[in-house]
Amino acid sequence: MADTSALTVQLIDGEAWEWGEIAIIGRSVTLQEWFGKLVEWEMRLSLMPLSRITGGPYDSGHVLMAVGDTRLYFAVPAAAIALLQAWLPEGEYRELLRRTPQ
Amino acid sequence: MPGDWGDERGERVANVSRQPRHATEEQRAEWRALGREKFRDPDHQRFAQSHRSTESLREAGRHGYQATAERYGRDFASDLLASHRREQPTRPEREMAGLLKELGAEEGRDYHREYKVSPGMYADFAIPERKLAIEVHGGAHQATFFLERGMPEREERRTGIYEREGWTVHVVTDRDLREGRVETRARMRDVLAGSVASGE
Repeated sequence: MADTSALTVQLIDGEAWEWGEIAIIGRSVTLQEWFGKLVEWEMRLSLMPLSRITGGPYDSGHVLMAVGDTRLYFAVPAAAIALLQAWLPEGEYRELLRRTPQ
Repeated sequence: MPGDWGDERGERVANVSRQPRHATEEQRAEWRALGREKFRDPDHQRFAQSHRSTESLREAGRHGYQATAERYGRDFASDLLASHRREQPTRPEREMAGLLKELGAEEGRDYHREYKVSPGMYADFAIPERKLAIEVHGGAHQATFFLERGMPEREERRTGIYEREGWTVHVVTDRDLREGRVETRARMRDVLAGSVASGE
C-alpha cells in the first residue's frame, strides 16, 4: 500500500475558485491534520458540481468544499481521493471516483 | 497561482441578468398539476432554461471548471457553484434563513439566496428589487488557522463591488446570530420593512 503520510491538502481562496482560479492562500496540511480539524470544527465535506483540477501541482485532483460555521475550499491531490470514502456521502464519493481519471 | 486561461466569454463584464432561477413551492405545485403542459408556461421555460439537464451537469463535473467554462462560459460555471452553495448552507446561513422565516419572509418570494450581483460574485441573501444584500459572516477562526493573511482585503473587495453595482449591504455575523439574536431579529425586521437604508 502506498505511503499516504506525505499527502497534503491545500486551502485555496474560495472567491477565486468560484471564478475558476486556484489561488493558494495558506499553508498546506497533512491529511491527518486536515481530518482532525474537520472533526474539531464540525465541518463536513461536500463535492461541488465542478471540482476537477487540471494542471499545476494538484493536476487530476479535486477542489472539495468543507461546510460548517463557514465554507472552506481545499485542493486535494488525486492520490488522496481513495481515503475520502468515510468523509463524503456515498453518492458524492461515487461521483468523485467517476470524475477521477484512473 | 491564478489560472490564466480566460477567454472572451470569461470576462467579468459578462451580463449578470441571467440568474439561476428558484421556484417557490407554490409554483412547483402548479407545474406538477399542469403535467406536460407546464412546458408551455413561460415562467417554467425561464426556470428550466436556467438549469441545465442532469446529463449536462454530470458532464460538467467530469470535465471540471476549466472545460465547462470554455464550453458554456464562466458565468455558467460560476452559477453551478453558487447553486451548490445554496444547497449547502453554512450553519449561520441556516440560522439567518430561520430568522427570516420567523419574520414571514419566504425564499424565492421575498428574498433570494446566492444571488448574482456581479459576474462571479453572489450575495448570501438578496432582495434584488431594492438592491439590498445581507452578508452572513461565519466563524473566521477556522480560516485563520490556515491563513497567513486575514480576511479584510477580501471583504473590502466585495464591498467595493457592491458599491460599484449600487447595492446596500447589511452584514450579520455568526456572533450577531448567536449572542444578539433579539437585536438581529429586530434589525432584519426593519430591513425587510424597508425602514433601514444601510447598516453594518
